[in-house]
Amino acid sequence: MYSFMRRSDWIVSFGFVYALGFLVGVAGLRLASAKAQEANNVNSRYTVEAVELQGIDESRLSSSLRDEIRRKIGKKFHPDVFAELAMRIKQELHARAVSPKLQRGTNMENVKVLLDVEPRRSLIDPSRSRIAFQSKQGLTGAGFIAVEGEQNLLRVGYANNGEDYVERSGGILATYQRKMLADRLRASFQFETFNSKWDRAISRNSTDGANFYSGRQTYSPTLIYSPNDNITLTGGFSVTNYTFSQASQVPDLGRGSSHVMTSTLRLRRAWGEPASFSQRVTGEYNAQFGTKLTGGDFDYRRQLAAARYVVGQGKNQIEMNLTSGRIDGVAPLNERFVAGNSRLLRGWNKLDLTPLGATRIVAGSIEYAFKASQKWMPAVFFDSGEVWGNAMARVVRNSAGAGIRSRDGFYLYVAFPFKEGRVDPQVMTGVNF
Amino acid sequence: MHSGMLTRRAWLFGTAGLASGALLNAVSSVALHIRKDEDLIRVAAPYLHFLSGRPLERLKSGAAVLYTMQLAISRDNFSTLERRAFERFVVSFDIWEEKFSIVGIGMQKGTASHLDSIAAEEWCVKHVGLTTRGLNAQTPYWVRLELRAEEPKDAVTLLTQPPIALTKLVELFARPPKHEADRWAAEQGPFRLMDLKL
Repeated sequence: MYSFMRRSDWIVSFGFVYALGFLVGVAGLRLASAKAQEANNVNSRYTVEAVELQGIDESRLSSSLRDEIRRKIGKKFHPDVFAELAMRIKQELHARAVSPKLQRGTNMENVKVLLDVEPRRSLIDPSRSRIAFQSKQGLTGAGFIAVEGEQNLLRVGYANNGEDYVERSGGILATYQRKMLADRLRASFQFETFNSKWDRAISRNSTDGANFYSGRQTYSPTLIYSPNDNITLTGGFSVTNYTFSQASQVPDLGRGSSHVMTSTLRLRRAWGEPASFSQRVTGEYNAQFGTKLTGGDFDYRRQLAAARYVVGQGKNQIEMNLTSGRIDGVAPLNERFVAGNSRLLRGWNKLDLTPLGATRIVAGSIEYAFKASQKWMPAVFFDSGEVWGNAMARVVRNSAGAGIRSRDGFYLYVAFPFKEGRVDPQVMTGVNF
Repeated sequence: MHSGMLTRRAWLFGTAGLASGALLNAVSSVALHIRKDEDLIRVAAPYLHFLSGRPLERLKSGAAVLYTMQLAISRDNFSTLERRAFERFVVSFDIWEEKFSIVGIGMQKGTASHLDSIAAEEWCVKHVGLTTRGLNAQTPYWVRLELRAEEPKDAVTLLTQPPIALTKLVELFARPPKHEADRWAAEQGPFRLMDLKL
């Protein structure tokens, strides 16, 4: 039996529903606008004879986007279709702007479409930068700058992450990559240094002998091999050194380190055309082997598999996610699984579920989104899963929510965990650049 | 002595002069030809060329551009407004024929095609009119025609608002455009209704 909601819960819920209604209305107006402009454009009567990219080489686009460009040839020119295509290219390349420009074709019934790509002027690397806010866990942010040449890439950034690890970690990351074999192979070296802050709820719950480090530095040399656009294989070694403060519960340790062999396989594939019927699958399997053979202090095996399937038909889109992982042995706290954040079991608080992280995780979600305009997509979702560890009871947690997200990375959701006792909504918002 | 160097005052005057010049270029006071059409005041603006600049570049790239137009009348040289009328037009440019097409989406629902730029501008301007009902035939009035080429983002609400939803249009003309060059205006006055020709 649910009790009455608190006054603040009512205010949050009402405010959210009002905001969602407003955004849906704006999105509807944009859709109507696109239709009106298309109907009023005299060039809609011409057939597209060719689509050309200006400013970049076509090989920088994914195969699915290249296929989509080819499918536009031979069809009537629709300004909104090319505006949508330009937006997708802009997102994929993180370009400053992509402008469709019309040119005459070889005969009076045809036109050529030139997609003028204006590269981003700043050094900010949008592929890694993000801001996320969750009402229970506060702000998470990461900002990176990158300098990329023909053969080298240098990326430096700062991150303050309160949701992906057991602790809140803040610090800098630097990556150098050397491109080889026509960018099919990359040699990479990454350095991270983080300070760790522990919630009091965690330090109180220290019965399993967890080591509360005050900082960690990681050195990761890896090789990244991409035989084609759809497969990426990563293999390497990482060394993480942990430092412990005087106030630590295990002061005798002073320092500790984790030596890990790691490998990751990533797959992605896309079919169809977004305007009609499309499917997109991404999958990732990561295996880590912590070893004492080279002087590390942790002996463990960590496996994590994640899959994402997105199917779209017209303006409707369904996205399904499944994550599963297990850890055998004793892993450092930052390697333990966390759910109850803005990605997994949304609406739950990670500190309520597993304050010290988990060694097992199974979590999934299904989300329906409606493309109300070229930019905005109202969405509803249902998340379910469980996280557990040694001597922890397995409990299936469910949550549901609604919100709106934009094609350029913004999202605003309110999630409701299915708890007995009272409704406890969480607001999540952020932007992935 | 400041030989060879610009003084701060010279900089200020120079900058102010350049800014004023740019503003005048965008919002020039070109004379309007005013006439009566039954109980409507209509204007012609032969020197007001709004199919130009950035909007023309967008048109020639194959995009459609939304123009919003306001015709206003005042008894006190625009300290206050007596009344005003709005119109909205979507203009596109045929890549092959190099001619303009126009679709009226406000009170005027007409369409026109195969027009050169002068004819297209004339078509738009002649389709906005102010009613003379309630106006004193002997009172001196001033009239102002103002046009804006809307950014694609701002065009959203304007394309979808019904003609009677004037509040959005009033708000629109009350705020400066993002690019001053996308705004054109012409004024004429004072004149008396009794002196206008049909």
